[in-house]
Amino acid sequence: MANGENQNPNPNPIEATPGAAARTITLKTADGEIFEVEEAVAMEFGTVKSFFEDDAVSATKPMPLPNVSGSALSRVITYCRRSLEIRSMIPPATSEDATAAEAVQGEGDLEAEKAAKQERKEFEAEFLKDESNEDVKELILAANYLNIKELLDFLCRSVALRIQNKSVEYARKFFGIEGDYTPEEEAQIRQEYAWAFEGVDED
Amino acid sequence: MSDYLPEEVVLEILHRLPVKSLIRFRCVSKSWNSLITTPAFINSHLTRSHSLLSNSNKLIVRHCLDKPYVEHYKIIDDSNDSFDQIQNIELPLTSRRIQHFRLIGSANGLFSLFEQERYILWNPSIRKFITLPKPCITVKAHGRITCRPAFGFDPRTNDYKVVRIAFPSEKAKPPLIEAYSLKEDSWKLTSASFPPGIGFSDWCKPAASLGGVVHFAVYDNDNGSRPLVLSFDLGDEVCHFISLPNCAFSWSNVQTSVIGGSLSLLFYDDRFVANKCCAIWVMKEYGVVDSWTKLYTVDLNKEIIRVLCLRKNGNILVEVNLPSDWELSSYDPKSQHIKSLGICGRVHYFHVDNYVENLVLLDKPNDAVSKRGACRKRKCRLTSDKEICQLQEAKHLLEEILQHASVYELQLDIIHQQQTIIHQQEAILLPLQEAILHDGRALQLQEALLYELETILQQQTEKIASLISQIEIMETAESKLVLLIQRLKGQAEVETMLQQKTEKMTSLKSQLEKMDTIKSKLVSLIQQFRGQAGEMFSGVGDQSSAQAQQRSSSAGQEM
Repeated sequence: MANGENQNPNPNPIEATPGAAARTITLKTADGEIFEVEEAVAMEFGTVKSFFEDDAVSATKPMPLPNVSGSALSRVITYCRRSLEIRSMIPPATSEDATAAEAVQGEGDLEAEKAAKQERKEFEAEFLKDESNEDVKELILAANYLNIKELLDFLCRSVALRIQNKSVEYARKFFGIEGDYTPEEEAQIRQEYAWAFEGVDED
Repeated sequence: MSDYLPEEVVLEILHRLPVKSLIRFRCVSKSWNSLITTPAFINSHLTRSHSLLSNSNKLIVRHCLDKPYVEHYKIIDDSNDSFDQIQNIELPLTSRRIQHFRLIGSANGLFSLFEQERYILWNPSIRKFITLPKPCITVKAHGRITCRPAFGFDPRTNDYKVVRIAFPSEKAKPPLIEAYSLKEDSWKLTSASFPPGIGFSDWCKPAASLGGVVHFAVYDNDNGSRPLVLSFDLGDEVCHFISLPNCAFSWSNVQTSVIGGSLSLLFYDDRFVANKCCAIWVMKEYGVVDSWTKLYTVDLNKEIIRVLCLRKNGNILVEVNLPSDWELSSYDPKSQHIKSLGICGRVHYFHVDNYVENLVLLDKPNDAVSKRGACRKRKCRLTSDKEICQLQEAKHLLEEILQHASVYELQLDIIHQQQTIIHQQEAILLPLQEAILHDGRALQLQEALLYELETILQQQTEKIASLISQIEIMETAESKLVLLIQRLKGQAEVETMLQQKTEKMTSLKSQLEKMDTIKSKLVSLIQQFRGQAGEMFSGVGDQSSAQAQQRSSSAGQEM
């Protein structure tokens, strides 16, 4: 959490806590909700970051996010906050990709990394547990618009896990796609690769 | 809010799906089908597959069973010691002339097989195979040829290639090389020439493919059978040599391989009957001869006959010869303990490789014709089994009918007759089955022997060739020796002549000496006489002087 050097004129005086110099950024969603977000968290959003880098003047008005709803943004903020916390558990900030895990580090660092990985796993399992497919799609659209790579990665992985053992009809419904094969054409693929259609979850 | 997800997001999700789901979701829509079957997606899916943790510890094992003659491909989880099987896939194809296809090699989970001039690429991940077009170098066009094939993946062009090095029976014709590219789906003769005087030490074994280069274990006929590694670059189709570590090796039974991402060599050393072993060497830095390191020596004096692959836990997968069968086992080099993995198969036909799920060949047209042919063949081979099943079924039906005795009493006689016929047929078939089983096993043993004899024959013919050249060298040496002998003979004659002359000289010398002594004697005699004559002179006078003179003259005459 960055300590603010200049005082950002806070349009929402209720949020101002005595003594806390944390700089916040205000965001306004499509449905009119206002969110006060710590700068560090808001800078995880690629769109917000580039908006404030381009515009050197610190915003006095809340930044509009016309493609994101309040509920979605609230979930996104929760994710990014938690993600930042977990990342700060590892001394030198490394990416959480599976491939980068073999970097040469001190033993203490390895332990911290292991613990962080475990935390992330548990957190991510919980995060989407009760989300419906529609909610997940909304989150994806939000993460895509806000350009949050880590969240988008995680959401794509989760969707892949959700649908990988499902039927063709399920996939069509999930992505809102109309099937355009004739029954004969579809039957041909099903026959040729019959093994791929076995052991599929019931809809 | 059912919005459409943007295509980049859909692609991201598709990249994370396993192969089985992707094949199924081709039906979702035509646009999804084209997304999934483009070569770009197939390539990027493979690249991502490599980096997924869940994929980094899988092995694929090929083993061939008999009766029916089916090749099995088992996907194994190698992340721990237990070697659990995840899946078993059968090759939906049988060979026409030999019992099982010969394996050329494997790369990225794709296998290349062949029998005579029929070449196949097989992807067990999507259970699809394609038959390659006929090669350029054929027996029809080039006469009898011996062919050494190889298979590899070129990461620079994302292309799979099959290479054939063909040696015409007529020694005068040079060897030809051709290569098949999966991207272009065609064979092409290369302009590359195969280096002269090189023979293969690794016939019938897959050539290691690493970084777009296939590697063969060879020896240099023109250089005292020095063993080498010959590399053939699949991209620019150029041959290079890599030297071996500076130790004494027999060049007869060597195999190239890839272990832990590095080029490796398996030396089967059977020079000492009581101490047969296989040494595993790894080239830690590609191209640097000093980086050859010996990893292990596997003792071959018990049941182990072949080394296949290294496991993640450091154990070695080996082919083991048991009294009942040949088996895949796990060998611990530290404890030297061999653990059976329960996977049996035909000897020399085991193959193990790292496995990654992939979609290669998905965009290629299907081999509908070959499939039908295969089904027909398999039906023929399964006839005896089928007949027995049918007979058993008929048996069951008849028993049911018997229960309705009151209605079918009139047909009882016919039923009884049928039953006896079935029993007779069964009696004929069962011993036949056993005989086939017995023959099959005997055949297998013979095939194994044949295979070994083949390799021995190759080695012998090459040994003979080197011996012939040695004989030639000896013949030239012989003629040189003859010349030397002649020269020596001439020298001897000259020497004898010299000897004779020296002898003559010595005899002459001695004669001269004799003459000298006689001369001196005479001189002293003359002096004596002169002295006496002088005395006479003074005493006697003329008479004596005349006598003395006579005496001196006679003495002079005597001289």
